Amino acid sequence: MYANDSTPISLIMLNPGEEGQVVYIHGGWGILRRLAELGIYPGAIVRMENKSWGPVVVSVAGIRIAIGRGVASRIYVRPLRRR
Amino acid sequence: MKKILVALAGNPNVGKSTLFNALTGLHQYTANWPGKTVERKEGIVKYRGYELKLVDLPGTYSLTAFSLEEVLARRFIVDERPDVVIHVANATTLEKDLYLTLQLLELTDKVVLALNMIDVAENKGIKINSTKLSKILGIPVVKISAYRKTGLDKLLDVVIALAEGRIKTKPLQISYGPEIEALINKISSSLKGCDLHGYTPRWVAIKLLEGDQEILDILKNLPNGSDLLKLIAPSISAYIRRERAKYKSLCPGCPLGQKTQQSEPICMLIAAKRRIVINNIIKLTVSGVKAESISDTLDKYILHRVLGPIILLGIFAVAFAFVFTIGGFFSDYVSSGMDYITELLDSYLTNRIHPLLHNFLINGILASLSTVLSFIPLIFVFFLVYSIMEDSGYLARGAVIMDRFMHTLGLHGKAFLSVIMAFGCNVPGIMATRALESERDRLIAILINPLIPCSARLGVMAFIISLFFPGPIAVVVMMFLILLSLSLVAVIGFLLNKLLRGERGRELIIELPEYRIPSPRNVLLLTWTRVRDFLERAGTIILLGSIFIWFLYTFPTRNFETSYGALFGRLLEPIARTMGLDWRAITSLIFGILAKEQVLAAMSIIYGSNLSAILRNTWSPLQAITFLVIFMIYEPCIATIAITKRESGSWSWTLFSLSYTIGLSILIGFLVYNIGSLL
Repeated sequence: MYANDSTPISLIMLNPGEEGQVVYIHGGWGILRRLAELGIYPGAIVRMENKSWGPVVVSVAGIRIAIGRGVASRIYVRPLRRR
Repeated sequence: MKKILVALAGNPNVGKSTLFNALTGLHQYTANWPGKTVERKEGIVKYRGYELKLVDLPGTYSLTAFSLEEVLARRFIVDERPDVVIHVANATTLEKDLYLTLQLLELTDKVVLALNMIDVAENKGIKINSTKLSKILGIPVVKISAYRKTGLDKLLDVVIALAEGRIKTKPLQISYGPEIEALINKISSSLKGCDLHGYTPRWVAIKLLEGDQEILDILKNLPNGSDLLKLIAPSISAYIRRERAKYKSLCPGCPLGQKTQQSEPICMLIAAKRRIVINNIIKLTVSGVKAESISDTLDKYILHRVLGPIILLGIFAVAFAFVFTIGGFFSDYVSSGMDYITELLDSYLTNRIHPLLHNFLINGILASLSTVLSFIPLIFVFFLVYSIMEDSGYLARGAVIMDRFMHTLGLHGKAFLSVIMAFGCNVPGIMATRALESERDRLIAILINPLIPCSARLGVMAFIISLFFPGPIAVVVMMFLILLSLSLVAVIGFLLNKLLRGERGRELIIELPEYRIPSPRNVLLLTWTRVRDFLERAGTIILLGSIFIWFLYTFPTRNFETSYGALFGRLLEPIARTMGLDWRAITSLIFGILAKEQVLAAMSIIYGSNLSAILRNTWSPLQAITFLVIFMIYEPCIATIAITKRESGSWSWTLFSLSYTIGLSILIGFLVYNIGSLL
């Protein structure tokens, strides 16, 4: 269902409506854990919803999360394209 | 009657408070956690001959030592050993919520999972197989709707059965994979026999691998703690090196390895493992796809680059208009009612008691009581509006929209909530800074808070402005003053951000809950708790302060003109002159330190009872504006000083807050008057 051969990019590079699978998160334990609590972890599939102004809004596991741009830029995802 | 201790755990925004309120009704009370500033809500439920004591644990996403709330929640479970823990989960966001369930199961086996908002989920086409979920998790699962009060009896029956051991649980234990399990076993076997403060060795081992600060401290304080840690360290770092290499091949562009955070990959893997388990559970038990909800559509506009801030301004403009018309309306009634009572009592007491006691009762006690009482409607309506915005889910969006602006102050969007609160009253405004995780951020938010004009100040400002300026111009003057104070907030925030050291807060990471129609019961209870909290904290201080101020302006001669207060005011007259004001204006302002709305009462003592006419004749419009500028900027009141001390935990920062606002008010007052005179 998904093509999984693309190279990882920063989450912030996804356009609204695009999905990506998280590969790696660069950050201290506090950020890693807060993200994991909300469902963002290596393997999770996130969808960019809104990145117009300030924090980006993504949806993951049925909820929406606003993430500051600095943190979002350190989340690496593999873009998913529907075949 | 048999007593059962029950703890309510759950994420924020799952309807935990709604359930707590539905079960306990008005049989609830708030206290603080021992030695902490976090609120602890408790309530009693009588059910089928049992007395259940419910303790509402702070809303948390997990049970690490990430925040004070999380430490409190897990210490409660370990130390007070509740008979049952009810984990309240939102059925529409089950995948997110199960993360906490798994952590609870690692800590205790007396857990019930309450699937709240099951009606909402079913309306959305989400089907949850609770029997299967219960079998997998090994604990009872009950479907409820706290809002519609369905399933609550079933929940209580299960709680009692679990407490009495009639239901046996077999909590799901996650296996973290061969490599991590080997580390966990190694660590937990070396911990056998140590005093782990009630935690199990396996749990301590997992938390240690996650880099949990409280656990690290516990281990360090063990008699053989440092040896233990040294023994464990090599195998952990060897594992981390292997993981880093794996990620390097997986993610060629990722900046790996520069960080000193040694547990980084492990804590990510443990979290990922839990998440994968949850993902599988969801696949087995939940069906039905969630269509785009109304929330998604609404957010397109509310979080829009251009529309978002406009909507935000619009909502707050309407909210404030509402607060001041409705709140002001009732406020006027209360204060004229109090005036009537005061008059009655005044004439009744004349010649019946000692004149000094008479004076004390009327001008000391009753006057300040009337101030506090007439302020309640305003504060009540403000908290009502705030609670509606909170319960509907809009406030979280406000934090997102304001995040960029707050960043220039070195704060993130969550600080915005304390700013909004402050427009109602600085006391809850400063209390709302508790949402900020970093100590440094909290301090900045506490220090800039007094500069935001609270409803008491806005009320006095509106009154004095209306004396000097006709309708439309009055609005412009008011806007000018509010903008002035907000720019000061920006400047001072910017400076503090540059000057203060300490760890900066993490960036905003916030869940955006679905919008919902606020429940009247929730909103009213929330409002009531906040008003009561305000009264308890601010009411007594205002009363005590009033007595002190009354003393200042009555003694030593029982003549206002020669009292200590007036003498002090005259002493300050040279400073007042540079701002075009006299000792009477300054003396009135000193009254304001008690509570800003007291300034009007003070002025009618000092200038005479026909205040409006006298002010119009003695002040020029420029003097009025200068007076208001000073009035607006200096420390709001004794209650704010007290709460600043409590929340900052430091007398020197409290003193700083007091002195910088006074200094700033004099500086800006001087500038406004002298630049204004030139024009």
